[in-house]
Formats: sequence, structure tokens, C-alpha cells
Amino acid sequence: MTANGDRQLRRLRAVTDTELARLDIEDLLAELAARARAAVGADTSTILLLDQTGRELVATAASGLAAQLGPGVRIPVGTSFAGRIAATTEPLVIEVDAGTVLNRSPIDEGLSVLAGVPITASGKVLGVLHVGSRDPRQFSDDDLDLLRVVADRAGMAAQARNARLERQATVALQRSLLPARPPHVAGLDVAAHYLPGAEVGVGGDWYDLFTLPSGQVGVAIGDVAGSGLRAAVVMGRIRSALRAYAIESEDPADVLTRLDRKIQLFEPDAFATAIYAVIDPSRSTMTASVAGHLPPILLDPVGAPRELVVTADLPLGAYPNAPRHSVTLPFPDALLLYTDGLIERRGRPLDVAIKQLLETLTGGTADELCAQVMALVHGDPVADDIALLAICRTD
Amino acid sequence: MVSVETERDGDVLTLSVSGEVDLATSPVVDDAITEAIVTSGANTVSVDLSAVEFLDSSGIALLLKGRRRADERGVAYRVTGAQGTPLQVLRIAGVWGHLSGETDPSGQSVRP
Repeated sequence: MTANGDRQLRRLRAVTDTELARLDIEDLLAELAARARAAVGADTSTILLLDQTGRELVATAASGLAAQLGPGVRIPVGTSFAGRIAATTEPLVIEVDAGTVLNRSPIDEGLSVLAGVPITASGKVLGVLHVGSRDPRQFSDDDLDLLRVVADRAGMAAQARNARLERQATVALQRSLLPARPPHVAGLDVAAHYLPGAEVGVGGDWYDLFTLPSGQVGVAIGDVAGSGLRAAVVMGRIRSALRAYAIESEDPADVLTRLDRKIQLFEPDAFATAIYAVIDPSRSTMTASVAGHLPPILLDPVGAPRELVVTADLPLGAYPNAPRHSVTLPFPDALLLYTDGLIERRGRPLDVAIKQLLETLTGGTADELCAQVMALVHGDPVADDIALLAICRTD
Repeated sequence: MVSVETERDGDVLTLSVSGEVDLATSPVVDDAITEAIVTSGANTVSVDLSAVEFLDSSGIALLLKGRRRADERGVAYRVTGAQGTPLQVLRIAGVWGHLSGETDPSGQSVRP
């Protein structure tokens, strides 16, 4: 091996060290910035990551001169040195002299040579790794190769960081929208449960229960297709729109028709299954409309738990002007609403799963019903989210 | 895992889907259906689900999206062959009639 090759190999080892795997993501990015700077002998290095809008780069880790700037410098994609690399996804080296027209960002200040590579993962640009020198010098192809190796490692870290940030934001949103303990409602004992799925993470399941000015109680459950922050945000909008229409109309089919129209217009790509039901003030009857959702389960003192027999209308967002129907029935002793994560498993027919669910329910308080259902899931890794709402009559 | 085979017979394009359609795999099927409707030039698109073993709500969503797209472009669209759990899922969601054309055009579907 040539001396040059040997040196390159040592430099490569320094940036791919397995020790790096022990660091948490922020420390790892800081360490990568430091090693990139050392490996190519630059005066400064910065790792910038795209923010959630994808329109701005944010300085996330730095070493050398740029470290004095502190984190948080923002650079619009397409402008200045780093922004140009993010826009073109090509490595770039610039020697700055009097004739160079460069829209400088604070991290380019005082540098005469700049070199940078895009940070990508799964074919998507996530950021830019950027080094610089105060004095004139050359950055060789070997230097750029080293920066690419560091950028690959940073790409994996950035991906993990994005997933973590998105999950945190989604969980926070879910928590704010789905109270662990639904509000107290006279004449009803209510319990709810939400279990985030393991595979796809938190998503668009929701439940809701509220008292209307008429003394009626509105009950909803639903599932927005998709997962992550996007699904949770759409869920939040659908949930509050449903509440708004619930004040305007007492007929669940009408409420879901209005909600559907709103979704078709403002969230054309959204798709959700839902049930909306209204319990009358005396808690003796219930009127429900089903938009492609799994039927509720009814429990009465006499007879086994059973599914509500109802013709489901199309899910929300499925098709313009889908006809919707409401069905009125005596309010049962207990009502259980759930989302598909509870029963959909690969290799198990749906009817078998529903039968198993019906056999599991032995009655009791709303909390006890939730516990009976969740015992069914216990030890069974669930891919999808599960939302559960149990409502029992107390008088 | 999921795979989609495309067969063209004159103006009719048939997409045969096999495997599991879930959140992870649905983009593959979605892209195939979208391409068939939007760019293939076929006047009838038929989606055969007979080899689909699992279908979740993301699968339902993409099939419904196909129906909407097809109608907007005047392409005839039919979902066929669903059986077992996928058929149960589509029926319980109230969408089987809407997708298969087995019911009247008002959209009223009949639960078996």
C-alpha cells in the first residue's frame, strides 16, 4: 500500500470508528463534525440538517470556527454555499476570491475555501456537511470522499433523529387530543384506552366523548389512514370538525356527511373510518352512523355480547357525496367501540378475531371491560395502534 | 411483501396483486394503480385481489383512491377476486360493493 493510501485508510478509520455507535444522536453528530474537520485538516466544519418544512437548513453540530456561532443558524435551501448543496445534492468546492459572487451565511464568514457534501439517506436529502479553510488550499478528491463517508454516517443519525423528533411530536399531540380519562358524564361510566402500535408508531386513531347543549352525549371513534405526525395532525382536525358539526346537527349521518364534505374539500388525500353516535338525555336510546368502521359491540344483562348489525357506509374521504345512514337502537347496558388494530392480525380471519373478542367480554365496569379487551392483546405484539372506548350505563 | 403483475389486453389493463397490503407495502400498489389509471391509456383498469392474503386500512384507502381517480378520468375501474380476510375487511368497511360494482350505483352496499 502506498503511503498516501495508508494515510487515507487511517483517516477513514478515524471517521468510521465503531465507538461512534455508543454515542447518542446529538453527541454523535458533534463527534462527526469534529472528526470531519480533523480528517481533512480544515479550520471549521458544520453539520446542517433540513428542518421539517424541508426549506431551511439548521446548523445542528459544529467544530472549530463555526462552533463559536452556536447551534441554530438557519440557511434557506438554494441560497449561500450550504443551501446550494442541499438544492443540487452535489458535492461542491468553492475558492472565494474577490471575484466570487457568494451570498454568505454566517458560517461561511472569513473563509477562503469551502467544501461540502450533501447528507442523504434512502435517496432523500437530509442536510449538508460543510468544511472550510481560512487560508487558500486545495480540497482533494480523497478529502471529498472522506466527507462523503462522514455524511453517510451523519445521514443515518439524522434519520434516527428525525424519527425520534416526529415520534415525540406525535405523542405530544396524541396526548393533548386523547385524554386518558374522558370527562365525567352523568349517567354513564366511561373508560378509554390507547395503545400505540409497535411497528408503525403512533398514528391517527382517536376517540371522543362530549355532552351536547341538548343534554345528549356525542360519542366518536375513528382511524385516520397513515401513521406518524401527518396522520395525527389530520386526526386532530377531523376530531375538532366532528365536534363542531355535532353542535349543529343531532343526526349522526348528517354530522358525518358534513364532516366528509369538509374532508373531501380540505384534506383531499385523507381517508378515515369513524363511528359517530348520539345517546339521548335519558340514556335510553342511541343513534349511530358508521363510516366504514368496525361495528360497535353491545352488552346487555341478558344474552351474550354481540356486534351491532349495521350496514356500514363508505369511509370518510372515500368518495364524493357518499350516502350515509343512521340507525337508532335502545342504548345497551354497555357499549364498546374500538379500532382495527385490536383485531387485525396476519393469518387470522376477521370473523374469528371478532368472535374471540366477543367471548372475552364478561361485563362489569367500563374499566373492567377495557382490561378484559387489553388482556386479549397482552403478549401479542401489535403492529397498528389500538383505541378503545367503553361506555356503561350507571342507572 | 407485495407484488403487482400487469397484463394488458387491448384497452383493458389488469393488475394482479399478491401478498400483504399494509402501510409498508401499500405505496407499491398505489403507484401501480395510479400509473394504470393516469398514464397507461387503458380505458378499463381491473385490480385482481385473489392472491392477496392481508389487507389493512391503508389498502382500503388506496383502492378507494383508485376508484375516485378512475371516475375523474372516465376510466372504468373494478376490483375483483378478494377472498378470505381481505374480503371480510372490505365488506365490514362497507366498500366492497363500491369497489367491485356488485351493487347499484347509489353506493348502497349490502352486508352479507
